[in-house]
Amino acid sequence: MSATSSIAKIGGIAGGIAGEIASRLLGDLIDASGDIARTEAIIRLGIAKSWFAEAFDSMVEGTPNATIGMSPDGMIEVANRMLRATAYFGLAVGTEVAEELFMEMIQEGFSNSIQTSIGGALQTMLNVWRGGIPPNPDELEAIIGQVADIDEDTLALLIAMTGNNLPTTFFRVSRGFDQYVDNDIRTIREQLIDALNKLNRAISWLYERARIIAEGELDEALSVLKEMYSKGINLLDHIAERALSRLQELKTECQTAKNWLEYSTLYPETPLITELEASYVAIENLEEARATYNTYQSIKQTIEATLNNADIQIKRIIEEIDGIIGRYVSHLNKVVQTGAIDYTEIMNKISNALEKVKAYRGAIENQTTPESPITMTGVSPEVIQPKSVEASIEAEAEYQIKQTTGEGEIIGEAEYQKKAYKYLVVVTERVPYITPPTYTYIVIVTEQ
Amino acid sequence: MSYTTKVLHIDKDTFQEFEKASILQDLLIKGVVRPRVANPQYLLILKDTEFIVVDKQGNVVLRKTVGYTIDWGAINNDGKVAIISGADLYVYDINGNELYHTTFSANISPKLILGSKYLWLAINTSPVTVYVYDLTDFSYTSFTVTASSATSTVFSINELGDEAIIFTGDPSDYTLILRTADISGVIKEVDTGIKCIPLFSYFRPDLAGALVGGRVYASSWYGRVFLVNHNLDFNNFYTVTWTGDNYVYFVADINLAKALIFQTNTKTIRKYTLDLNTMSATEADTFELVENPENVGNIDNNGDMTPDGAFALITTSDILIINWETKEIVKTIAKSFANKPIKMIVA
Repeated sequence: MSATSSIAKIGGIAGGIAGEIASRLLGDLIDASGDIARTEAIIRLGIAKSWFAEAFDSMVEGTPNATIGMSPDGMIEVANRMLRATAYFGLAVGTEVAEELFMEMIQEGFSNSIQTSIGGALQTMLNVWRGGIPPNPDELEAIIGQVADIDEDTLALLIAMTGNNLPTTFFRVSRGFDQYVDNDIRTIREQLIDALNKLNRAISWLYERARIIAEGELDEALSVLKEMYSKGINLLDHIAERALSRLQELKTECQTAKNWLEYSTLYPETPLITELEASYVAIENLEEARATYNTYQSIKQTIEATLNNADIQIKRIIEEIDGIIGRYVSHLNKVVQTGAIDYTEIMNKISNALEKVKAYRGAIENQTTPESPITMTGVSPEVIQPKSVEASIEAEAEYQIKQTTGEGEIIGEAEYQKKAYKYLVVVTERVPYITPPTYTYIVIVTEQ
Repeated sequence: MSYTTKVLHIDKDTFQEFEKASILQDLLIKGVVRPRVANPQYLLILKDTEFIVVDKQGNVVLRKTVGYTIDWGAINNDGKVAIISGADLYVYDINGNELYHTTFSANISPKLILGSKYLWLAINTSPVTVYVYDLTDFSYTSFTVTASSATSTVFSINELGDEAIIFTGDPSDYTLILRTADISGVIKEVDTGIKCIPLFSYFRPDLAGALVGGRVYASSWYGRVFLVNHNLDFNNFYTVTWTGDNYVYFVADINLAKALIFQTNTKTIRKYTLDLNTMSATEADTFELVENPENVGNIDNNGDMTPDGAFALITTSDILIINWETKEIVKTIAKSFANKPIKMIVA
């Protein structure tokens, strides 16, 4: 082959390649321009609208069926009309676009139905042997609701698997924990009311009776006191009246003696009384008047002292009632304070799990840094509850039994606690040695 | 007539005597009391219308004349002083300021006692009324105990004063009744069934135990001493009979491990070792004084003991300091007053 022919041949090949490239570029351009022209034409002429209407109407115009929604005839009609719409749009925008627009919908329908039938069967089989579906993101709150039953590592995995980003994760964990606490408190409220009713009926009757009796005693004591004062005053009035009457008699007797003495002075020849006799009468009456007055004072003091003593008795009764009411209130308080929920362990578990989630999310090439865009904060809720009604009653019964000392008497809670402590000191431990102070001098006082 | 009240330091090794304070006046000592704690800081000297507080160094911390007749008094380790006069109670601080005054409906028993926070006293009502005062605000609680008298209502209290063992004699059969109590009332009560009207007590400041003693007339006079623990277990380890107006007295260390028992009708002094764990009391020895111990009445024991139990103070016509271990009278000090209870502290 000559050089000229070779060059010509090479030139021919190069020209062919260039032509091919140009043909491809221009061909696509011409095709695209054609698509644009046809598309614009069918849109502007309203043809596209008509074809769309035909396709979409088919989905609601198929013959209905009461059980499955649309009859098989209807579904075939839908398929036919979709097929038609695909063919029509294929003319204008090409078959690929038209298939994506309409036949894909039909294909999705078939695909979904196969997924839950044949596909479902396949899923069932494979999931049994190699199941791997993670929880939905929405299930994160529910996962936290079960925190008490899940270990810390599994909890971290479950939280991470929901796929929420870290801020959403923290938000949903927080909401899940709130729901967990709410559930607990709801149970507690019901238990507490139930416990209060049962315990009060079972245990408080003695205090209730004591309180009622004490109130009755107070009323009665006040009534007695009132009557005592009334009688005391009446008695005093009576005694004073008698004393005054007697004093009046004595005065009259003295006055008579005085009159007699005056008469005797005027008429010494017929004396009624001598001066000495008159003075005796006066002295006797004076002494009797003093004795009468002293007796009155003595009785008055006795009555007053008796009434004062009654005042003291009333104070004692009130103190006793105060004591009974105090023990009653103490008992009710104790019912409320028989237990408490401690969330510390749960919160620590969640907190640690979240740290691990952060570590998962920060992992790069076998290393990780648990960085977080958000930090969990908040106050640990403190909730008082009885562990259960039965447990509370059991605890109360045990408490009552322990209150009964060796002497058989019942004592209050505070005393019981002291008793328990003292028992520990005296019986279970040896009496501790008290270290006396060191000293050089004995300090004494004398007087000389 | 004038007297000189002296505060003396006695060196526990050489028994040399140092006069630390000298107070001239014309009133005889009515008695000397001290705080009932492990390490008492003050001595309270009571006279008819005056009281004096001295500290361990012999400094006169307070000397106060009052416008009434002092019946008796008590002091706590903060220097708060309670004085009684008939039915009147007065409380003073260490500077002599009157903190509180009240008049009860009946006379106050001289057996009153102060802890660091609470004051306990009994008044002579029937039944006896016990008052427990909070020394911070003088609020009080009160309750009654059946007792033969307020004077024979004896308190042992803990250092704070919020707990007590109350000893009384039953008013009908005169048996000794033991009670534990707190400020709101009696917690536990035990009737010993043994006739004894309690008069004196030595007790530990943790209230783990107490010595209590007294006397009773049942055909003849009986003197008794009991060891009691906080559980109200008791051991009546010493009983004696006599005729006439005599008393059995005792002194003990702060641990209630060493004690001396003696009475006013004999010169014999009995050494005892005590054990609260086993509630045992063992007579370790006896020895004789030259004179009978003084009869100082029924307000308090004759004498005292150092907290470690090394030395005891007993008064006859003189003040005697006795070494418990050796039974030796290591110091004899003259006094002009007679038949008054006095105490000592250590420095």
